[in-house]
Amino acid sequence: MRAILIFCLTVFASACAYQPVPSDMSGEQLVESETSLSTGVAAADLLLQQGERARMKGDYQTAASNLERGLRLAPRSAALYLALAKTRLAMGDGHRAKQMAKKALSLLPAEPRGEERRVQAEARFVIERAAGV
Amino acid sequence: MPAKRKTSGAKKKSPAKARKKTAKKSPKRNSPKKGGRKFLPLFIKLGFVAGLIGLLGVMYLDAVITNHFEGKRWAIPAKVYARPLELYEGLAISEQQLAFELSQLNYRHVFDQQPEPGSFSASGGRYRIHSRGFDFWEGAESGQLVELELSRGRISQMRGASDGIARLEPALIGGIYPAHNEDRVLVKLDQVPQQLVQALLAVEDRDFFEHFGISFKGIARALFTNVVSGSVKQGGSTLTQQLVKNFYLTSERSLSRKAIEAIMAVLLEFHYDKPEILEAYLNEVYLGQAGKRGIHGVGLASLFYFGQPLRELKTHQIALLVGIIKGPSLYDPRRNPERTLKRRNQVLQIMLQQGVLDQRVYDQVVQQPLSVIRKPLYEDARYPAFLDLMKRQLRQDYRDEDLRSEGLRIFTTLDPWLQERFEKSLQSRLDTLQQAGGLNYEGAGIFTSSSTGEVSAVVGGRSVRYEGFNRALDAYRPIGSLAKPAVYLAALEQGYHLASILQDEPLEYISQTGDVWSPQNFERESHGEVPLLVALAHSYNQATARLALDVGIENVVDVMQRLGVNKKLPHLPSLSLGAVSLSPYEVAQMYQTIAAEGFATPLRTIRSVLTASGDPLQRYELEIEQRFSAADMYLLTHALQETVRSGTGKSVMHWLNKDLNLAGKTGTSDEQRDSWFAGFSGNYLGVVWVGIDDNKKTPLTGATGALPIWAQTLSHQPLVALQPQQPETVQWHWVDPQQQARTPSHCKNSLHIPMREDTVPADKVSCNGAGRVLNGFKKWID
Repeated sequence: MRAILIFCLTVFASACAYQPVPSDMSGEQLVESETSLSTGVAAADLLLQQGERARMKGDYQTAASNLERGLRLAPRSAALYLALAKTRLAMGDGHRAKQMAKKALSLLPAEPRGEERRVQAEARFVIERAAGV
Repeated sequence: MPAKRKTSGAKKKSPAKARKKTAKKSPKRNSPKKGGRKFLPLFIKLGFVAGLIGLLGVMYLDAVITNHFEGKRWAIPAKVYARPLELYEGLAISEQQLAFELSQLNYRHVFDQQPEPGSFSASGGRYRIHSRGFDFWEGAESGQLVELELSRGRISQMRGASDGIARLEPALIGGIYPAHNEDRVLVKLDQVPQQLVQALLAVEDRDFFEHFGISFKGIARALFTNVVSGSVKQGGSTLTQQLVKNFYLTSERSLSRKAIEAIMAVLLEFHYDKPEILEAYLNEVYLGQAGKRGIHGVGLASLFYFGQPLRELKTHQIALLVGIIKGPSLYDPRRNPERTLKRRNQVLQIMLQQGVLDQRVYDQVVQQPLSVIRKPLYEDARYPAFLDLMKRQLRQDYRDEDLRSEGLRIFTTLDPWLQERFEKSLQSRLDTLQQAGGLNYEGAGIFTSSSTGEVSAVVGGRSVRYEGFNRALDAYRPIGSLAKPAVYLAALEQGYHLASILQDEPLEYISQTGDVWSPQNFERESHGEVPLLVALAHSYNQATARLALDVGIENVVDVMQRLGVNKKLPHLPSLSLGAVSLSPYEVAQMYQTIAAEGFATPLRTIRSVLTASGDPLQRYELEIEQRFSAADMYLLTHALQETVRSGTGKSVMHWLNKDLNLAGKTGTSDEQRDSWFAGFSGNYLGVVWVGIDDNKKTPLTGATGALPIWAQTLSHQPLVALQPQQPETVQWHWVDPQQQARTPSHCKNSLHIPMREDTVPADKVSCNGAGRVLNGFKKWID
């Protein structure tokens, strides 16, 4: 009985944690939204947010500067590399956007979950889109 | 700066008219009746000529004044900064490092009082640090008081920082100076505290806004004061005269120079308005000396004496700066503190008398100490090897002349703490080696951030402050076994796996010219059949040479070039064992790609450049390019981790914890002339070389010369364990190399290794009676 209860709770908990990529969201919408995967360092999360906001305002230099600063604090953050990729894409720099997106993908676990899947989907979209830039 | 231009026609007219009048009258006066008057025409002519010469002289001085004052008045040296220390919760930092960083920035340790900008208090792992304001790339940041707690080598709690992150201002580490060695930081008049201007005028020139360049009232007052006191206590020169003297004239003391100074002062006032003259004075005034560098202007003096930007100076500091003007050498607060304190209080007294201060404030500030930082914020040539590399990179984008004159502010990647530890480790190890063997060893190397390629530290030789030959960049030495990872990477790309069997047996290679190449292992023994992983971890020459011939030398060359070696490489089998000369910098570039998991990342020393006025000019962006598959890099990194765990690099464990999973490779060139080590953690990559300049033989290997320096350097750093992300195309298997088949876990003859999924053997065998062990790798190394 106890084992069944634990099993049910585990299934329930993992269902709560899993946030699928919204199926009605296009790649472009994904790229235009903020990356919310944590970098693992609170201060770097803040720099990620600041960078994303600057990017969405079109201030790409400030965005890149904040994101690279964040990378010094959390050098293995896929979210920061993805945000940099999106910034490069917005600047029309397809080659660099693609490379940053590839790096973001390389830092994701083999089986991404939740927000990681979203980062994966966005990074793939950036690579695809970068080819046309 | 727009000059206030006035027409001077009216003034020029009157002396000419006067001369005409005199000329008309002169014949009448030349009467033979009066013999003494016969020379009068001559005098008049001479007078006319003298007047003309005088007029030309004034015109010349006028041209000098305007030419020099228009446009760019000073050549402003570029200022070079280290990286700023970022403070945030979770940051790995030891108390030792924090103390070092604060001391580098001349922060004062205060007790029982609230820290002011540029000071801190500390008690039992709790720090209260008041940063100074600084103009960063992202904009100006005000100083802020942060409280943090250090626990187990990390900031466990931090309060007070806006946004949860604070940064200390970066240390000034050098400059790029014009030939005359004048150094200054330009300030605009509206950036200068009002109190400083008031104090300056009260002490140096009370009638500044009334006089026209020279002040008879000032001269009379000075004369009176000096006569009453019986000594020269006060000068009669106005600020304008002082500016003229400093800006245009020599320090010669003569009547004629004084006269020229007065004329030029009047001319200067004629052309320019008072605020312009005042601003020029504040930037020109000489305020001290730092070795060869002359400290000019209040902007730099504020940093030089107090380590603070001008806007943050307190009243007693302002009074000190104004006091120093009278005699920067005499009133040097570091050399003559008592005399300087008296002078400062004299200035405060004048400020009180002149109504700049009220009695209450005066009583308070006169009690203050000098508050001068112990040593100037930076010493030149402290990190010459790093600055050399930075200048080489900077010169790709800027002209030398601009670097010496435009006042650029260059923000670099130098990590002073890592740099100092690297210098100390290298010097101490080389001293030990020299004492033991009597050889005059040299060493060099470079440390970088393993993921971003930012250069953290560079040492160019044992004399770390010597600005000469930079071995880190210019010493090209055979790299020995440091080349081997390129051979193994080429093999992995072609489908080899870590358990592929290699033959470590003697071989002979006869080149087209008939030369015979027959490499030996370091211990002069062959090991027969060995798994690829073991051959790399133990750096077996014969197995590697055979592998290189199998995969093709052209492929090895291609891999080396993709790793980042940008020079022509010999297409010879000996390349596989390191018969190529590279500098430590080039090797670092090559290993950077490995440490960054296959992404080539150019090594960078510069983050950004700002103009003299703090406007963003250029940012040096992170550049990456994937050159190798994540899977192949994962396998290679595993082999390099095994090298440190159990192979030729295992002595690293004397200094560093095995849980860090460090990766590295030793290198020893022919006849042990060069000792190398290249390795990386999750956050740092380092390459170290040790050898002798004249290429003599040494008794060293990579593990006994360079490795200890590398490990000692990193033993003082907050290291992140190396845990590369396992790619989805890689799986871990137990594999029996002899049978080239998978086995159950822990079989005695098996290796537990990561494999690319397309190289996993189809066959699966049982342990075959060999029994089970914790890790089969031991069998192969035994």
